[in-house]
Amino acid sequence: MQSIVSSAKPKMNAIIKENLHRFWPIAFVYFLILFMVTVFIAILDTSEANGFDIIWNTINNGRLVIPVITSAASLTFAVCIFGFLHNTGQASVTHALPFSRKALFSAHFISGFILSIAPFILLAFSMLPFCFGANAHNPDAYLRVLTPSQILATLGMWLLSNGIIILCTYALCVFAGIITGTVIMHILVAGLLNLFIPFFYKLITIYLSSFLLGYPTNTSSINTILSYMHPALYNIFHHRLGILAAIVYIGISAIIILFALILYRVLKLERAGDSTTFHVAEKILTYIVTLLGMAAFGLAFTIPTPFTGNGAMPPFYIISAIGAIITFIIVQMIMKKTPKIFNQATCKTFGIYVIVGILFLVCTTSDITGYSNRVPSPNHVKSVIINSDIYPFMIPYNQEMYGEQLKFTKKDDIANVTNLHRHLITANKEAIQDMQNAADNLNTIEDPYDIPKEGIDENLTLYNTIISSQLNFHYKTGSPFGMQRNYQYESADPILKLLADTDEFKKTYRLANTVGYDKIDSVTALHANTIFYSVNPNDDPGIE
Amino acid sequence: MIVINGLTKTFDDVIALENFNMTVKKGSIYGLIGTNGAGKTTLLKLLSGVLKADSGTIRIDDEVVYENPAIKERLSFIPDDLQFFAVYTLNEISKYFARIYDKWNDALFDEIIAEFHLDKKKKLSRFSKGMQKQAVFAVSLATSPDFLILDEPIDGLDPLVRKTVWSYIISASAERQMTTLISSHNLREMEGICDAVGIIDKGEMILEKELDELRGDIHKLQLSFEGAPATDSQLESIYRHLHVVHRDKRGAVDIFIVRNNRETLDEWKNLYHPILFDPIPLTLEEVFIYELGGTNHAINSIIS
Repeated sequence: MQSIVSSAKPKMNAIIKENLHRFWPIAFVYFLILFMVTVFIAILDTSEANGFDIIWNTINNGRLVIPVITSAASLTFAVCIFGFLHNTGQASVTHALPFSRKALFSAHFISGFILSIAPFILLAFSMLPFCFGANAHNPDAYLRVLTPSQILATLGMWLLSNGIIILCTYALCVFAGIITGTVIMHILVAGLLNLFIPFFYKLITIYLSSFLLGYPTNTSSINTILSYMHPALYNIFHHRLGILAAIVYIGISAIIILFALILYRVLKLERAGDSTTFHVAEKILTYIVTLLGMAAFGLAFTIPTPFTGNGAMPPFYIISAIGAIITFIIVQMIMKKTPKIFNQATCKTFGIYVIVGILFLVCTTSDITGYSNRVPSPNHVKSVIINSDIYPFMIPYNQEMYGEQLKFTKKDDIANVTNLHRHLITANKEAIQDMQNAADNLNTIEDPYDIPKEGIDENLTLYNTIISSQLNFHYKTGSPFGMQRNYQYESADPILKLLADTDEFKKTYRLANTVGYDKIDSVTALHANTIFYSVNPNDDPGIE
Repeated sequence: MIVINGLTKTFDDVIALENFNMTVKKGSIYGLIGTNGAGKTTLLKLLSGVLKADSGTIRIDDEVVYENPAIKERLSFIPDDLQFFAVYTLNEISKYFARIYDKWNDALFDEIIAEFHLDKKKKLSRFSKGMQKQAVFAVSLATSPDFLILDEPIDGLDPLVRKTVWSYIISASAERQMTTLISSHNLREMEGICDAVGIIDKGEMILEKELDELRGDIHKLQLSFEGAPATDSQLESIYRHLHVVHRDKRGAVDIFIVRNNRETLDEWKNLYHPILFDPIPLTLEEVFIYELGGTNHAINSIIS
């Protein structure tokens, strides 16, 4: 037994060596591509500073092309290394070799990972002299201030970031390879697994923001959440993978790898050549892709908004249903590898999908949880932040304070905010109802050239007023996620006085806090170029 | 020794093997025969630890095969599909397998390759199908296996090469007590080399015997008696001592397929003194056809 255990490792090395030996030219091609888009174009650049900028941007994760190449390399090696699972002959010989499945998986996984990351290690070495050279010879380069150890640390972090992207992407691609039985399916499912969560999230946000009043449409917060969903996206959005993010992604990758290993150990090799190697995977993939297809059809052809009127909903549901049917048929044909898919089993699968699809549409297009009307009780709110992304919101003394946030923590102030929140819900609903009525009226006009001009003008005015400004509420409550809402509001609405009347607003924006009384010589109130009030603080200590 | 007990393997709703039993003695050459789709390849893959059985046991030298690298180290499997090897040259594959198999025999490998006149620097995908089989056979034998499992190894090989392959197998069996399990449709050659055979049909072992025993147990018998033909009841009385599984008549000659050994037939002859008594052992091919073809069209080809 001892001899078996001790001999297992060198034999695993045999597989690793063999894979490296077989596939190193592909890794070299990836290195050449990376070299070409970084060092080579940096060398070709006539301006040394610009050339160094390319390298500097690269090692600071500022170039979109790098994560794209990273993902492509991970997919390529997952497909090459685990390709033996998709051919009956190769699968048979490989599994007849004196290895346990765990050893086979480990050896192949490690070799694929080494091959995926090797081009990046080589590139790091290639960029190293260029970095130092540029640092030494270009007096204008801002990297000149960096010490060699700082350059090395930056390069190291770049390598680590890409290593984590590779690990996560490669793990997902390997997982895809194990649940699929053909190369084509491997590539398709690997792409789906890597993109599904961000894509689905984006889709959900589009649906929810279209159908739920108050759903945050703040692009930056959506992008922030989106960026967490894949290390490649994180790198693209944040240009830097922090320690916590690195640990989380390594942990997630470890879970994916473990799950892939478990599945590999129970994998039925006789299913090599089938679209999927697990029946449950076939079902799940069918549901996911059909769902995406249905949503994509809905988005592509017609997606009603609160302003499009009630008449837009039936066509939307019909197009979504058609999209679901078309996607389902195509997916089933691919899965079953035959156009003859119309049987009882397929109908049953579609029946289950119909439930999933209806649930999706109900959850995203109907406010079944009362989301739109929910206003937190002031007693349950620890703090609330209000801001406006698009226009400066009530910044009376400084036009430069774009995107200023107002934070409220006092109970009375929070109560004012929730009252404003409640008012905005009512105001938005009324406005939407008016818009829908207007839209429905327009739809009933037979002659498009006979639209009553006054009606359009009124509606456009109303619309412009509504969309002129947006107000975001960020409640901090007992829940770890808090509560966020976003509403359109009229900047001239007197209800906004509720905010101006709060202690915390006054404290933050009173004149004394902004400029200081000692610097004020006089205060003059103007209206229509007419001075109607003027006072000197030295004369009147009660100016405040 | 290979012992299989109650083995069942299903592919979704298709039963490939059901309650399958088999025993292969150490050092023997065992021929596995059956119609297409009978379950031979599935059995060989189960034996090699490639597939996992739904139920039942496969034991090689009293150890389970599946997920057992120690037993797999002593086992070599050549599948029908040689795609795995296609990307390698013989040089590459020998280096790769030498790192994996502790008992890799470089000298034997070189000897077989020389015997087959194969180019070691050429990719296997550039070889003809027959040459690929020769190459893989060389690789397989060079791992010095105690158990060699071959899925239709000689199909597509020319007679000279086939003879060489058999000679290597026989000498390894004789010298190292290598146990060989061969699936093939070439029953004439199997008959000449195998010690035992198993006939599979629809996932079940329908006949498993030592070849000598099999040959002696089933005969084609031509009989004729002197004088006027006996009545049916008289004939029934005469033939009741024979285990007749098929009967035909050509003029005055009765033709039988009987499941009796030669001693029993000789005793019967001494008892009834037919004027024509011609027992001929069935060939493996005839047994195969008889066992699997039933008594309809196939049996006619045997007795005609």
